[in-house]
Amino acid sequence: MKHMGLILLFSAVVMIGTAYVTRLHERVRLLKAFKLQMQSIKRRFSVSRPPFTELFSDDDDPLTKPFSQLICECMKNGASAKDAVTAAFSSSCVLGFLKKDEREFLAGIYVSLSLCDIVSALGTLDNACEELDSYIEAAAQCERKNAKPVMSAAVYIGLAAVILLW
Amino acid sequence: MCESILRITELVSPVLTAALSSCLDMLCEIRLRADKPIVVYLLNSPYYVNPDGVLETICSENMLSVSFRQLQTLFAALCEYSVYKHIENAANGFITFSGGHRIGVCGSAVTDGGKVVSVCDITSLNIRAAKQITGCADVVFQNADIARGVLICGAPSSGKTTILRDMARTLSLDKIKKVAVVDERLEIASYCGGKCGFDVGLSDVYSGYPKSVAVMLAVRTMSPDFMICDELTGDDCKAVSMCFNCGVPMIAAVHCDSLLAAKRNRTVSELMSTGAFSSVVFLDGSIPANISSVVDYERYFE
Repeated sequence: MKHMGLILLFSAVVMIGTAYVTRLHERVRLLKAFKLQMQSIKRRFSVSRPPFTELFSDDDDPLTKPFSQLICECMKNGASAKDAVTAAFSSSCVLGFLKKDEREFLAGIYVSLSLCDIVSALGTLDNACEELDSYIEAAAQCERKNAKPVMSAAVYIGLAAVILLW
Repeated sequence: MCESILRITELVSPVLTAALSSCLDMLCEIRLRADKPIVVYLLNSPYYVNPDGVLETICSENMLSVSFRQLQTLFAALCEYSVYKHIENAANGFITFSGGHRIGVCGSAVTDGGKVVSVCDITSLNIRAAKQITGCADVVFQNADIARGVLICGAPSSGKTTILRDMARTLSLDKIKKVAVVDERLEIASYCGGKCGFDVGLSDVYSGYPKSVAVMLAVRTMSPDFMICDELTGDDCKAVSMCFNCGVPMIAAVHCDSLLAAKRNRTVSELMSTGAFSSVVFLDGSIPANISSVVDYERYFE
């Protein structure tokens, strides 16, 4: 029993470390997925001008798809674009990986897309992609800097806890 | 029609919906002005809405109104939160809501090189309730030589588009003719998302095309027996002539309310001079799509 408990303790500490590293990695993936989505929207604008709810494609990244679907569903039920985007950002668990300023930035982009003319919309998308590049770079740097130390610390803490309690 | 109008009134205020739900068939326009009372036109008579949702003929202090901010939000909602999709039309003074209802837009123009490219700070919206009145064009069929072209003249909101719509339906369905409809402002058939808002029978509809382009395409590719257009201006004479020279009778509408005004109107004179119209139909505007007279070509030029 004692050995089981120690093994579980060790596993729990390592899992906490893994969860943190995964969060860092998913943040980078999510930001890249949003950038791809904005590039896809920009391409769609060059072909036609679909209504807001049709800006999101079925080919979207699985990470952003639930977010897009939630927006479309809210708007089909009569919500404004702003309310739908706010609801999507607040209720999606995946988007919790993003920092607050990143979420607010993305929400602002989608809301402004629904309200501006085509020239402003294209400009907004260009600026958004540039800004997202800097967010992606910062997130990737954070991942590179912290992933290894955090995993190492988790393993050592886990081992130390096991040894101490043995 | 009712469902789409109620969707619009719900966006404005549930009180407005309650006020209009029993008189939608008489509704002509809803005028919204920033920080001013809402004015509803039933059979072209103005009414105001009190806070209890009752229509009154006299405007008093507490009448239902919209604020400037509400008007901006309403404009975005009427554009389906896709302002980029509608802004070109808005710059031309209108947007079309699903159901074929044209909404006149007033605001501050954004210009580029002298051309209005966008509009912001919306100050007025005029929601015109589109109607389908089956059979309203029967008088035209009985009194005019359709096969030699018909020009429908009437004041704004007199029912010109309603007549054109019924003519498209009758010609394509009852008379089994091939009809091409040039629906530049998306009011005649009002296609939205692939769905036709009104019954235009078996007509081929060019939605949003400039008239000159649509007439050329239709004549070349759809071999129409009749061409139907709305709101001709002096710039459309070339398209009208092209259609006439290709042997396709045109049925079209123009802003003009009487024979005397028509004779003085340069646009009408230019259009009649093309020879594309053998009859002119005048609407009296007292009730929608009410025909007052049908005048033939010779009498016009007397």
